[in-house]
Amino acid sequence: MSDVFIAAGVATAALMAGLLLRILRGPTAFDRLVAFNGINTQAILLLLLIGHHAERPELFIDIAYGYAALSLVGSITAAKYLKRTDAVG
Amino acid sequence: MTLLAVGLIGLGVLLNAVSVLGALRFPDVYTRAHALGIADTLGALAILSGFIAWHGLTLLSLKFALLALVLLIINPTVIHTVLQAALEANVRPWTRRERAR
Repeated sequence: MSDVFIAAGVATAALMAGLLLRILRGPTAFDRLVAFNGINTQAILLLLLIGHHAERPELFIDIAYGYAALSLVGSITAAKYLKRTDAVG
Repeated sequence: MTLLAVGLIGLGVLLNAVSVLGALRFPDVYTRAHALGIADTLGALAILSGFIAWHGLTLLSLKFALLALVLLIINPTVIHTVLQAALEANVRPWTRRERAR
């Protein structure tokens, strides 16, 4: 039954590639930041899917917690920085 | 239980696909954030529920439930902060008269 995790993981990686297209194309910096936050969420889910495929999810859930905390700090810092400066574009 | 888990994971991936399609097609940052809200809350919640159904009631599934709670708190916080910064940087919302970018 591990095929389910492989299929869902490949689909999630494809969705991350689609969001990367939005990061490359997005007209303002805020488009890029919103898409980056979407990539972070998909990366957490992809970590858990890889962990189930490797049959060691109890290790990967802790990595996912750490990734979630770091993505929160990074996105909020970038948003606060872009609010202060006029570096939009 | 396995069938339920596979169904929930498939539903979550489908919701994420709809959300990414919206993020690629919608005209400005506010509508794109609206579309990505599906993946950030509902899609992630469906996939984590699939993992819980896969494992049954163990300590690991409690961790999945807590991760779902954490995601439900941090993702709206981040999107709110980013969009407030966009409003203060004078990114105008899309209206029907403008051309989609």
